[in-house]
Amino acid sequence: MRAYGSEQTPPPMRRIDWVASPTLPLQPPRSRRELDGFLQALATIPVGDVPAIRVMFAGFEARDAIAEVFREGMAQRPCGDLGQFMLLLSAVGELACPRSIAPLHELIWTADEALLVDDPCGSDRETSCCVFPPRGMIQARAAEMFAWIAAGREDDRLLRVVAEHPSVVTRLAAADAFLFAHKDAGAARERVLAVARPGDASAIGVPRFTRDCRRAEFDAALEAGRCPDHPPRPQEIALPARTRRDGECC
Amino acid sequence: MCRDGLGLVDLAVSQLIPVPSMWPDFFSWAAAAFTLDNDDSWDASGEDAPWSARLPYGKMINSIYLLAYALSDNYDVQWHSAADYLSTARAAESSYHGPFYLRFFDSGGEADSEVGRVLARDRTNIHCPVFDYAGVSDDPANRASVLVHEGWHHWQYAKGYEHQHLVGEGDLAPGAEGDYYYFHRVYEYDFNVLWAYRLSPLLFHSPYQVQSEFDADLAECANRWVPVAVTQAARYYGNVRLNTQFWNRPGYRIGQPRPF
Repeated sequence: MRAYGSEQTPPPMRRIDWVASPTLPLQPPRSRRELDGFLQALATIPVGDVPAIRVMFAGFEARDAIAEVFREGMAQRPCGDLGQFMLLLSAVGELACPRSIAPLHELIWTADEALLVDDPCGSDRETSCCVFPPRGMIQARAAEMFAWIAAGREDDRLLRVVAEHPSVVTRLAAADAFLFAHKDAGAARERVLAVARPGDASAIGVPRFTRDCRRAEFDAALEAGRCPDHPPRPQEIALPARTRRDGECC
Repeated sequence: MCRDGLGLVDLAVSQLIPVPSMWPDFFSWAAAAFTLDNDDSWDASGEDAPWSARLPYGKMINSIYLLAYALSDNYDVQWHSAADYLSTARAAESSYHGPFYLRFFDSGGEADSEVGRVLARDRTNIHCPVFDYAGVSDDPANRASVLVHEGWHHWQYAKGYEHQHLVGEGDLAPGAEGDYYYFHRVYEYDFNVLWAYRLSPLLFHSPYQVQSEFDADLAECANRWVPVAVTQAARYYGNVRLNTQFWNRPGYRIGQPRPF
């Protein structure tokens, strides 16, 4: 299979267009059985159509019934396919049904062991480098959706997450969601820093890297929040001169 | 063996890719550029069914597709260009590193790289967790970032720098491994010179740093046609790494905390 001549450049991009643009609006799921199909269609919507996704959710009728279907899916333990579960949380947040606040709060405080699917080989597999630390990832997204739906009405419970959650990922996501819900106001920042752990403080109120951010403003904010602990100079290894490729020119 | 199965995000990507008979150029390029046909390790992992994203080989194809085409190269915002990440991840010799090959290997952890091998080509071993259905690492965006990360280990070796990770120091989460974060502003690296570095003043990258910057770019600077499930995944994987896998935690977050 080496028909293509160059390893350097990929061939011109192609994609199957009919999948790239499912017809919106999607039919909302009326039962748990329809939920998987709904999420599959939702997953394929291009990121350029995010405004249309928001309009679609805003236009759903029978919202309590849809939210109930979502909550059934959210109650699954372990969560199963992580990508599907995380997209479900986004759907829960976008629907913004107040009755979803309680199950989201419960999810925030659920232990990873109950949520994540076990490694099929357990500890039999040799431990190796480059491991992903998933602790708190699902709970972090739940905290963001909790804050989104609550819209400032559940500040005490959200600040408790910032202060007491065992996962730094969840604590920092909750802090960022708190600030976002309060439009990044200075007073909100003081409130969240007052309860945050000392080791978390430097990562609270940091700039968000978004497609709409302006480079100069982002860089300035990045500079302002720069960690005072500078890393040491990279450590060289002994290499035969012929194998070293000089890249120092930036 | 790995736990085969098709996750939702892989499904969203695989539905975009024409099958091999419709687009042989891409499949042959991917196999050559990422040396998926270099040894027999991929034989039993779906090499004969490259369109099947239920199997490791097809999942690799999904991630290579994202590496090759997903980024918009938004010069105003993006950390680095698509060509930077692709050249890093690709196995062929380049300004970034010497030649290596990718091997499928049933082991723990996401992947590892072997450099400086004696009388043998360097290689990257891609492990089952990035393919295990419903596992925490089984995601095409994450898998693509792992390829970038491992390619950077080869960059470190080619440039003559240590490639071991840190454990249990600084801001690293308990039990997590990680790297130093070498601060740089977006404008400090032009497109297509990610391979370059400077020691004074320091302008450098570690593997988790390059990986996180790829996550950020995929989350926020993807082309309009990229499935929303992919950009969301890149965001949550990236934020976890930013929060837990650096000795000195980077001072930014990826994206806004809203549903879509």
